[in-house]
Amino acid sequence: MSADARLQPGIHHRSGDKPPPAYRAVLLDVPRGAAPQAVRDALGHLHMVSRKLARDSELHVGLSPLIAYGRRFFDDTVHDPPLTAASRPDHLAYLDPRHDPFPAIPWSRTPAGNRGEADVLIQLTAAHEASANCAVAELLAAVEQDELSLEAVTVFYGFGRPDGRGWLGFHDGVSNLESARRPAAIVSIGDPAWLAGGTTMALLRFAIDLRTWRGLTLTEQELLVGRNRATGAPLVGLDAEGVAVSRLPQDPELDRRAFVDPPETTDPVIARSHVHRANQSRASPGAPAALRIFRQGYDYLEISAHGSAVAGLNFVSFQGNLGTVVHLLHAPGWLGDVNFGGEPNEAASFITLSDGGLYAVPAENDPFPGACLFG
Amino acid sequence: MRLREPGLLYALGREGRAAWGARVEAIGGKAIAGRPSTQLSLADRLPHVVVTDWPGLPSRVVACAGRGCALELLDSTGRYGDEGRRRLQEDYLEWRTVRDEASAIVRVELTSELGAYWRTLAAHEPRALLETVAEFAREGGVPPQAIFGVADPLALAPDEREVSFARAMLDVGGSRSPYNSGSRAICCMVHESNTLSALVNLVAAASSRFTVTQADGKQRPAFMAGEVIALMGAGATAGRASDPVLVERLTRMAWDGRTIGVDDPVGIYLAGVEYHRLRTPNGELVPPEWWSFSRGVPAAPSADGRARPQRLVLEVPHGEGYVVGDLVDAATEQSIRYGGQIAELVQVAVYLRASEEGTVESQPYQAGDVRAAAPDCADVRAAMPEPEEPK
Repeated sequence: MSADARLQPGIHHRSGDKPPPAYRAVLLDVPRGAAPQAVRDALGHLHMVSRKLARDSELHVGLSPLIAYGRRFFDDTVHDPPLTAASRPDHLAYLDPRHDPFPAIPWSRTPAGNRGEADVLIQLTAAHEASANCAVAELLAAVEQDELSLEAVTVFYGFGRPDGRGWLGFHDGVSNLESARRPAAIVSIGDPAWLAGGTTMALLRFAIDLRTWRGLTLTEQELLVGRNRATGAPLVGLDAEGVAVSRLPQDPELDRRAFVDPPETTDPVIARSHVHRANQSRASPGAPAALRIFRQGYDYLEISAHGSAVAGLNFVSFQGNLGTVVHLLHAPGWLGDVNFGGEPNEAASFITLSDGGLYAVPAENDPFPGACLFG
Repeated sequence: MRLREPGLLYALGREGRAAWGARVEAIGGKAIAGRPSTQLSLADRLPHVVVTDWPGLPSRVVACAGRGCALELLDSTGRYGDEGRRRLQEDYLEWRTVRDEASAIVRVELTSELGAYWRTLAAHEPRALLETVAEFAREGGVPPQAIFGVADPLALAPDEREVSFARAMLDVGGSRSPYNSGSRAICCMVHESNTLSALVNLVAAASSRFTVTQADGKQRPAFMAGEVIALMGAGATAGRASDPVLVERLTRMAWDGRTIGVDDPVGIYLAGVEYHRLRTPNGELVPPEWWSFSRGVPAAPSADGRARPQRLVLEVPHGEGYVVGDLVDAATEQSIRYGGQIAELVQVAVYLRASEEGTVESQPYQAGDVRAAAPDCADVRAAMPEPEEPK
């Protein structure tokens, strides 16, 4: 059995399995005082509904439901009686509501307003917006009409662009791991044991200040990202005029590795760009300190209470251990001392965290992923 | 060879510095001599610095035992002092925890200092060494017998003094002085892999172009840590935080056609701390000044802007009303019960040197089919307590 055989659907990591463009995250809380058995029954029911929807290939095209458990699910101070006696994964923690969640990424609103922490998150990816929306409607209807021991908290929306670019105008996900290496980065070895064969998920909704970003020159943007905006080719240095120089592959097949993983740079300016900071050693997941994760992000657009458009990224990452993404966002020299890329204390800051949470994603199991948490 | 002291310290006199340079040269020369395919060079002045870093908590031990059990094992003590350190703190960072009567941690001391440098200090600057040990132990003075194994180390010749010091302070297989066993102090690293020889050997071995044979019989470059470590034969351990990332970085640079060197001053450095994770019992951020770096220059006055401290102490100032054991890691929501929780926040780094791309064309190391090395957990499992029999 391959290492990733028991991963839930919705993690589009295999070769040829491009993440479909529609994304929803349905966040659900357990009402206070709910009996664990009632919650177990509720989740089993929702699982059955979501898998039934996924089999409807006419409307719910490419629908992949995934169930995840948040820090709150394990919180005995919230749930009396406790929902589970299972151990919480060590790095499955709340994002600090009192302080900025990461050293270089502040909250975008008052942290008390974080909507990203919930007991349960059901991720839905689908080929069409309608497929995802109808699935959300069916799930929320089941919660309400069947009087399940669950309460809807919010639904996050996301989309993938057909041109493969993100709000910054650059190709997104170019540096993602090669598909053959992804299972080693994604699959949990089982610490705690109930998570074996599953994974963990970080959902971080980064709001992007596009006015600041678009105020930068093309060279400034490219140096922050570390790639050529038009081609996606990695930068290799600066010319005499200070213009960023990139290197397109001579032979696309042979040089693909160099394209995806930028070549070793000895230029200190290039080394401080986002792609180098986020992937300093370009080593495989076989090197734990390479901090490799599998990203499956989706952009979003919201209209604020004041009527202005808020553009952002649902940063979604899967990794065997949440400690990996925690290090990535805290370690100096990586993304712990700069908002996105560039020189600490000098580079432009344009990203804030609007909502977010960390989740455990148990392996496929009968009757549903995570059923074992209820004993 | 004239080399600077680790951390840009100035503890050695002229003879001592010459001895340090000779020691590094001998270790490097030996590592290179047996490897015709290596692209490591000690002679070239290479233009670029390449930083490779890793978190200080030993990832192999965590993967083998689970994080909770690993933290306990890493701090475990035995007949000869800090057994967990000697056996399992294997990622070029070692620590001791100082606890109060209630077993709460009051101080964590971490070091990346190399035993080889301390041997040189012992041979050539014994008085300064004694003062440093006393400072680390927070004692007015330390008995020379405990450090050098003899009451009057100055009566010995430098090479005899070095041997006597190593026997007393570095003996990894048996008893060690309380001044380097964690009971009164920790001075320099003692794990068998945390040595200058181990580091230079790894760099020499991994700075090569390895190939593996594909199913169609063609050779392809080997880049993945598991396969390169297997091809190296020895010198690196799969699953560690340090070795695999160094191996992949080095072999990739070798395939880029770079000559590779080790930056002078050679050493293992504590390049940074994830400060933002640690909270006081009141939920406030722990001030950076509670972390005390030493035994090397910080980034600011360093000519190249790179930090080179080799020692770090975390302690809550008197008067705050609580101790390190009351601090909380916000990323785990756990209070600090083990030194490994602090090691996890520390970025350990090696500064390598590299030429431009395409400046060297060494022969690939030809190899047949290879099974990628996987983390071996036997030693960790042997150190784990037996599961309790069901009653």
